This record gives sequence, structure tokens and C-alpha cells, in this order.
Amino acid sequence: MNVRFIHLAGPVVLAMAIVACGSTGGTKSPDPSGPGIIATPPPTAQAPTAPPHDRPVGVPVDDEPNAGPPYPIILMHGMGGFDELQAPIDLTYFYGVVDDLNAHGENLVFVTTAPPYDTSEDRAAALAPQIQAILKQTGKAKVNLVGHSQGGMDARVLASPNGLAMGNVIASVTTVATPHQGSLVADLVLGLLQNVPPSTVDQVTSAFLSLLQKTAYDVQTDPHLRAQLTELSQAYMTSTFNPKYIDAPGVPYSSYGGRTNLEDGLPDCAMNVVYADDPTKLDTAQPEVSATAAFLQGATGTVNDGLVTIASARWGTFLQCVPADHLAEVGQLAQNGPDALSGFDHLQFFEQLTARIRAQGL
Amino acid sequence: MTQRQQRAQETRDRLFTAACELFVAKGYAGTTVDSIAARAGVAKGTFFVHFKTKDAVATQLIANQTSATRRARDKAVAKGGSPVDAMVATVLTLGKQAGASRMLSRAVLAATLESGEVAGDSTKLFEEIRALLVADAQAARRAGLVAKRVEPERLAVALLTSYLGAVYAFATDPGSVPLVEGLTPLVEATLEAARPVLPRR
Repeated sequence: MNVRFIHLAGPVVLAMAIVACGSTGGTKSPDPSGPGIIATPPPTAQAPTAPPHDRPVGVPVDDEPNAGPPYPIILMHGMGGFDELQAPIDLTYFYGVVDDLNAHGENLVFVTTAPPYDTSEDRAAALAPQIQAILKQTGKAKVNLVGHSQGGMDARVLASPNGLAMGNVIASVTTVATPHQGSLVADLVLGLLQNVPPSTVDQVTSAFLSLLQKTAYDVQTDPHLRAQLTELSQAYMTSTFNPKYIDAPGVPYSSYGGRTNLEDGLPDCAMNVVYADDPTKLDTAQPEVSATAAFLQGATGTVNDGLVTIASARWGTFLQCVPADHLAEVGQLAQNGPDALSGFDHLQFFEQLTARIRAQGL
Repeated sequence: MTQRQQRAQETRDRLFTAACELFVAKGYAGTTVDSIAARAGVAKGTFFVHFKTKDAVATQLIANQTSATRRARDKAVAKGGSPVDAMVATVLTLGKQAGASRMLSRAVLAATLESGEVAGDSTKLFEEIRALLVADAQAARRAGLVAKRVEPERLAVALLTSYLGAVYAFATDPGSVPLVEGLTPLVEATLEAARPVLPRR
């Protein structure tokens, strides 16, 4: 879930927009009630037009609709996501990731936009045409989906035979800190937790909602926000979402989770992981998530990133714990360079994530 | 204090102790005013002289906790402690108080859930603690002990939720660690995150 604002702006990103819904041009803040509009690779990512093999100049790429790997990498944001009004102009969700991957020769990188406050079903419906547009523009047969937080749930709905059944055009699904088993924080905000006194609910809820720049009144009155939070609750994810949105056959699913609160993540982060992380690297939660991080840690005693526990973040092949809070995983808020304490560098993280997908021949 | 007043205070203390013992032994719901009076060796009517209801005993428990917290915080300051020391004293004293008995913590939790009155009083008392933390966080920031980018309000809430999370686990999960043991690293982590010259950016 989470992460507020982010604006797809910057001259770089504005320069190039894939038009997914027939309208044109420029980035635009998505209408929360309607589909998100634009996937926006930076200029170098226009390289969808860079042919994977020899092709006469000027031939549109979509004449070859089924090109093989490397497939486009699509970065999908979580709750909140894109909000023009609240975002500093150069703050993007996956902070600097597209530019960085471009600089490392990864030109097929796209960022999609989903309604910031809505269920993954509605978000996936808005994302599907954007993915189709990316397929068309690049001429590729498939895409790799990389979802942060709720973005990972969106990816699962897109791929699942019981969702939008796009598994045949999805090469892989990678989730980062996606609450596959729900989040206690959502339960708390919705008042679903038994045994929690009202004063506790108030404190944690106000901390969480200020992150989203929402109010308790919004939770009560905005059906989209409420439905979204309900979907992120533990009971919903485990008893409704997961049984329904089964994995698409043949599509590899993998996941990452984050740890903060100066927790070394042991033993969780050393068991059933592909890459061990370094338990000597510790992270502290940024103020925006410190209250929920402390509550989750205290209440559940489980390692978490401020909103999502490691246990909840696991899906498919669990790759690694990273020493970062829920915001820092994607470089929020506006992080440059490695964290002096944890050493975590989100750009390097996304480079590795991408390299792994490529190493699998996807 | 006159002798009469002293006797009244003793009776009140006896009732309070009896109620706490019963909360621990029988839980909040399982404790009746009759049983409290019987255990304290007084008539039922005497109970009502000192407490309006069973809920009033629970509120008293929370009030004791928060006033002990306030005293510990003031003592830390009087001893020359920094505003950060004051915040640590505040949160850890909340923890020490509640951490003294898992059953009693459970009873207080049950009381806040069962009784709107206790819940309201508890919210008010914790708001006071929050205000105390906010004031200390502001002072800490002014003194350069907390980073400028950390809003005092956020820090106060994070410290308070450390306690609230820890006490929730302590009261509801019999297998959870002793309260202060669980709480201390959380407080440390939260304060570490708020330190100036922070790693990030």
C-alpha cells in the first residue's frame, strides 16, 4: 500500500507518453474514478522503436507484434501513487529508477498509472489498456510486471485466469513489499481488529492516514478508499483475494520485502530466501512511516517495513529482504545515493531486480 | 489528613487492590462489585462510597499509570535530563507500569473495550501524555537533538504507538515478550530514526 504522491513530471518524463486510451499527449493526473492514462517512459525508453534486430528505418515497430525477449519492464505503483496536486514537481514514485535503468542500458522500462485510491480490480482494469499499448508500441509479445505494494496485487489481478487473464502476455511478476496476506494497519484503520482500544486505533489511524493525506472521514465516506483498504485487510487477502486470484500458469512469480526498525530480520530473512541479505545492515523508519512501523513491530513482533510484514510480502519465489522502509524501497522521499546507515540504494536494488529478470531470459 | 480521612483512604486502597487482584484472577468481565467488596472485607455499599462503578476502578488504574509516567518524566528533567531523556522516561514508564502484570493489562484492555466511559477517559489521559511528548519533541528539535525534518507531532505519535503496539501484544498474546523488553528496542529505533544528521538524502 501506500506512498503518497508522486508526480510524473520532470521534463524527461513529460517528453514521452504512450497514449493508452486514445487521448493524447502529456502526462495527466489520473482521474481516480477512471482509468489511469499514461505509461511514460523517458525519452530513451522510446527505444521501443529501437529494433531488437535489423529492420529498415521507419518501419513502425508494431508491425512485429510478437517479438521475443528482452521484454519491457513495467513498474507499477502502489496506493496513492500519482497525485499532481500534492507532489513536488520532480518527485516521482520510483524515484529516478527509470533514468538509472536507462543509463544502464535498460531502455524498455515503463511506469504505468493506476487510480491511486481504488481496488486492485479497478486499478487492473485501468492498467490493462496501458499494457496493451506498451505491447503494441514495442512490438513485444510479453511484458515483465514489477509492482510495489498494492501494485503487486494489481499485477496479480492482471495475470490471473480469474482476473483479467493476461497471463499469456506476462513474462513474469515481481512484487516488492506487496501485502499478499494483508496488513494489520488496514485492519486497524477499518476497525476490524478485535481487542484494540479506541485510543490506539485513533493514534495509528491518524499516522497512517496522514501518510496518504486522507482523513478518518474519508475512510468512512469514500467508497473507493474504503473498498481499497478493505482489500488490503488481512482477512480479505487470505480468504478472498488469494483464493480467487490464483497465479497464471507458466508465469514465474517472485517477491521482495523490506525490514526497518533497526531489525536484522533474523531468522525470517535468512530462511527460504534466494539471496541472503546482510543482517548487519539496519534501517530506521522515516518519520512518515515510523508510527505504523513501531506499532506493527510492537503489536505483532514481526519484521516489517512500516506497513507490510516480511511474512505478508512473500509470494512465489521469495528473493530477499531489503533494509528499507516502505517508502525507501522505491526511493521515497526523494532519496539520492545509498542510505548512510543501511547502505540501501534503491537504484541499485532495481538494477539487480531487472538484471535477474534478464538473466532468466525474460 | 484526619484519622477519618486516613481510614477512608485505606478502605479505598483496599478496594482498589482487591479489584486489581480479581481482575488478574478472574478477568475484567468475571469481576463483580460484590466480589470486590467481599474480597476487601467491606459491605457492597462501601464500594460505592469510593468508586461509582467497576469501570471507575479501571479508569483509576489508567490514571495511576499516566500520573506515574508524568512523575518519571518530570524526575528525568529535574535530574538534568535532555528532552530526549524525558521522552524515553515517558514511554518506558508507560511500559513499566503496564508491564508489571500481563493479566492486569489484559483487564484494562477489556475495560476500555467494554466500557465507553473507560475508553473515553483513557483516550483523554493518553492525549495528555501525547501532548507531553509533543512538547518534549519540540524542545528536542529546538535543541538540535532531533532532526529538523522530523515533525514533533509525528515523533510523539511514533513513540506513543510503540507503546500501544507493545502493550497490545503484551495483553493479547500470552507468548509475547515482557513489555519493556519489547518496547525498549522500538523506542531506540524510533529515536535513532529521528536523530539529526540522518543518513538519508
